[in-house]
Amino acid sequence: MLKLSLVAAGVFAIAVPLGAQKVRLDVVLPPQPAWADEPPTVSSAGLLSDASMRDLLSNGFPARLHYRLERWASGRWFNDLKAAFEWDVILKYDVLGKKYQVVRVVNKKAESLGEYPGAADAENAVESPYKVAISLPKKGERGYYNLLLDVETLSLSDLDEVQRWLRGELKPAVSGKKNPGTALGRGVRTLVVRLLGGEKRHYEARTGTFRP
Amino acid sequence: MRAVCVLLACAAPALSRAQGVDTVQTDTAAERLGLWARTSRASGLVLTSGKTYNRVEGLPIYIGPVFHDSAGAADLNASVMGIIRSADTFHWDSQNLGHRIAAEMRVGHGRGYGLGVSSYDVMTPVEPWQLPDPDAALAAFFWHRDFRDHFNRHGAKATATFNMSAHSSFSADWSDERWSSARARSVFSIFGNGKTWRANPLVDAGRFHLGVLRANIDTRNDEYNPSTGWLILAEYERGTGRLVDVGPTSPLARPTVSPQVTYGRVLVDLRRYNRLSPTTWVNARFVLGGWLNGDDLPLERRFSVGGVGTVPGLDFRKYEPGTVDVSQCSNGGAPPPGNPAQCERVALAQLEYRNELHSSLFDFLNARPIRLRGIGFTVQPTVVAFVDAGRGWLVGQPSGTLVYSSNSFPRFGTFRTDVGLGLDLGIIGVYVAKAVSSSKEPANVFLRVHRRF
Repeated sequence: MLKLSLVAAGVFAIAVPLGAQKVRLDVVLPPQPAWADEPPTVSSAGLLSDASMRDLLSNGFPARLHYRLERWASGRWFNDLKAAFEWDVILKYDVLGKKYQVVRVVNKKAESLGEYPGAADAENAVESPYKVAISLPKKGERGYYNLLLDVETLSLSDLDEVQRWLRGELKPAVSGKKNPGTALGRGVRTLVVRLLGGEKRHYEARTGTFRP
Repeated sequence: MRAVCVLLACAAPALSRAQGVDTVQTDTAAERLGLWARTSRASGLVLTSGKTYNRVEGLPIYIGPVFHDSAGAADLNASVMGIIRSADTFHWDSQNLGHRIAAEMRVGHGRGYGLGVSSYDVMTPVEPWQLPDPDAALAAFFWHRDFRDHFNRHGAKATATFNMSAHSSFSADWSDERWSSARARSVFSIFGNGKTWRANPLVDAGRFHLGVLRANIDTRNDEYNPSTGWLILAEYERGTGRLVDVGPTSPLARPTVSPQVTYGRVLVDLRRYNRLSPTTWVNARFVLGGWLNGDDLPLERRFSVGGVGTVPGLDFRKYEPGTVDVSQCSNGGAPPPGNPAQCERVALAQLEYRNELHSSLFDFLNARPIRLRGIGFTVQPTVVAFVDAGRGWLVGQPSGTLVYSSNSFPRFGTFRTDVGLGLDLGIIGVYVAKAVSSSKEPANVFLRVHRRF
């Protein structure tokens, strides 16, 4: 007979919204002859389309998408991590100007992806295909790409950093983590969700194994 | 009133991010007392929690000013935090009040160094290496199960840290502390509230001077979901102290007690993450720790295995009359109240095989992030198969399967072992573990936040 020795659990109200748009995240290889010469392309859809995310955005909370693309080599016993490339995309709504600003940050350098009047256009800019400048595999090296994506809304404390970015001060300090002092009063729900790490949505995608 | 206060205060730093990540539990209060994990760069008044919830303090609430600044390449942090604990309905007494005052400077990101001083009066777990803070806190808050023992540390510390790179560091601490016992108090829990908590064991009380050397190497590719890399924590602590109150032990655990104590203790926590294929991993963790030189270890520095953090097929702190207990190192007689950790050395090995399930099986859940009462996360179903083996022992004149000489190691047949299976959903996992070394022990079902290690 089983004994129940629960370490940690809350009472979770889990429901899946009907008719929700499916989240899609893809790492697309170049045409086969160019596997060793061209980098893969990352694209996505539906990452920011749910109501709570839109609501946070329209109230001035930026969304941060942290991407990490890894290139793995398949070995006899273990797979080896050969290369990794990280970048961020930040989406922020300018309440006064009534426009969405999209910024991509690569190697601590910010690049504007444009300003858009509507959330859908801004989301398209965020999710548009991006060729990743990751080091490429050698000819004959069998492996695959693995993409990790964390999507989160930034706290008020992080807003300062985003503002600096948008002003062109390239401070690499956006962490996406929360200021503990601002959380008082959110109740047990927030406690549990935060303990579980639920504020951050984590996605993964990978290519099939290929040999250039 | 009590419940409302708990609910409000719980929300604070959420016990999660304010003071560091739980992936590695150091064996001292160093990280807990540090400020570097704070990500907010704003100075001001902070109201936060101590990233824990337990039966001796409930929820500790920290309030006070925090100062952050930078001067050239140096980052400066300072805080003066008063602590009020929610136990006994925030009763205003010495056990419910504490403080933490810290000033730290760090130079360089990646390679660099840091210096810090702190003064504190805090409750500290005896064995933080076993179970991360979120797991321990949630178990106590929801289920009235506290899988740790606690004691009070009141003193001051100076720390110097050298960061060789973003992946490795070396630090040295020196502290002057008074240690004392803390009793379990009236602490609220969602289920089982009002039941009696497991007694918090009495420990050795006295004043100690501690010197700690600590090395940390972290080459993992991802802090939360590592696929490859090493995580190594090695720590040596030399303590000298004078006991004014001696905690009770089983007879063999400490045959004689001298009021003047000098000891050396080491702890090595080594983890390796390996990817076998795009969807399979094999990960391993080895923990070795214990007495190295000098007098017997004080009770605050002893070890145990068993329970969800180490060998989950075994019940936590279970007392079996007449049985030599290699989990807590009692020799068959009734152990002291709370069945404390009494081992002078410990060895633990954990091995797990992870296999990510085909995502289409769970696509109906991933149509959008699952809603957890308004906040989303994405299910990443991974099957986990695991085995664990571990035991503790005493150092001294060899005796049976409990006491070994300082230069010998118990044979593997004496280890307590289990096997298990689980489903890790990325944010929380449900597992079943069955003891192998004790065939009559029924299987245990348990939940873990994030990964087991």
